[in-house]
Amino acid sequence: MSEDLERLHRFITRVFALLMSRLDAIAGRETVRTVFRLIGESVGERVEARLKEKYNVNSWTLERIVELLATDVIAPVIGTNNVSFEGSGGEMKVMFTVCPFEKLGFDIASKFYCTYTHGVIEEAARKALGNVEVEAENLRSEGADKCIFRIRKT
Amino acid sequence: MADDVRKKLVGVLKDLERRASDVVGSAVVTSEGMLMASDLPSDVADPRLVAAMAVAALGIGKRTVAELDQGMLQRVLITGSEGQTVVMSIGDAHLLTVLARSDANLGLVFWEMSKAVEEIKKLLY
Repeated sequence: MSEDLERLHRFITRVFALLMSRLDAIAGRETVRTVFRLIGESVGERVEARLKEKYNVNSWTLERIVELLATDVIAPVIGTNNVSFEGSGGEMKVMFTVCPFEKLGFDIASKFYCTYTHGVIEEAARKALGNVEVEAENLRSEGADKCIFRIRKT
Repeated sequence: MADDVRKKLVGVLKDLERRASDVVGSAVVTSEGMLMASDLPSDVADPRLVAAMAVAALGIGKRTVAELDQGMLQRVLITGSEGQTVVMSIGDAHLLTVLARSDANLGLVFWEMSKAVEEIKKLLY
């Protein structure tokens, strides 16, 4: 990244962090988390449509949507070695050891970004499979060494 | 959340609407804006947005009473010319939102909402 771009990047990051902090102070943490959750859901909806077209999927399975979320959505952001998935049948887990927001220096204890990720995964899986339940089992924002999202068909 | 809990929540909402006939719709929402159970009018285009706005209204209400040192938030009331919206906390992680007619007997609505909140707490906590 050029020096100009890096400066711009730092500027935008700082403004974004300030915005989050003031929104938190004015509207409350739950409000900001909810907005992130809704953004995540709308991204999740688009992600499912994109993956369906890109991989020519006629009928989703839980394994397939989780695999593609991990390899085609999360890995390009945080690196292939930092994301994994496991499970089969009606229940899968997707795990990541890096939080991109933490890497950028944001305070992740607010869990704003966890709700975004939760929304992306849940809505993509719901669009693909219908009734699903996604549970954040472990979160880096709560001190865990990795985030674990458990996805279950219901 | 188990289906039977969801059904019981909808049952509590329907009871609330039966006891306070000015109530035209209601929903139980998590503090992160997820709709857990609802009985909303069919003309509500996007229930998820209603859930998110209820969280935002309650969040701003909580911040307002905290900032002005006005104690604990009891409820948020939004009055429109064609209807009213009331939001109440259910513990730390959920809320109850109710849509009522513009000429609703708010005393009765608040009372029935408080009773519903206690019933919902028993189901969720």
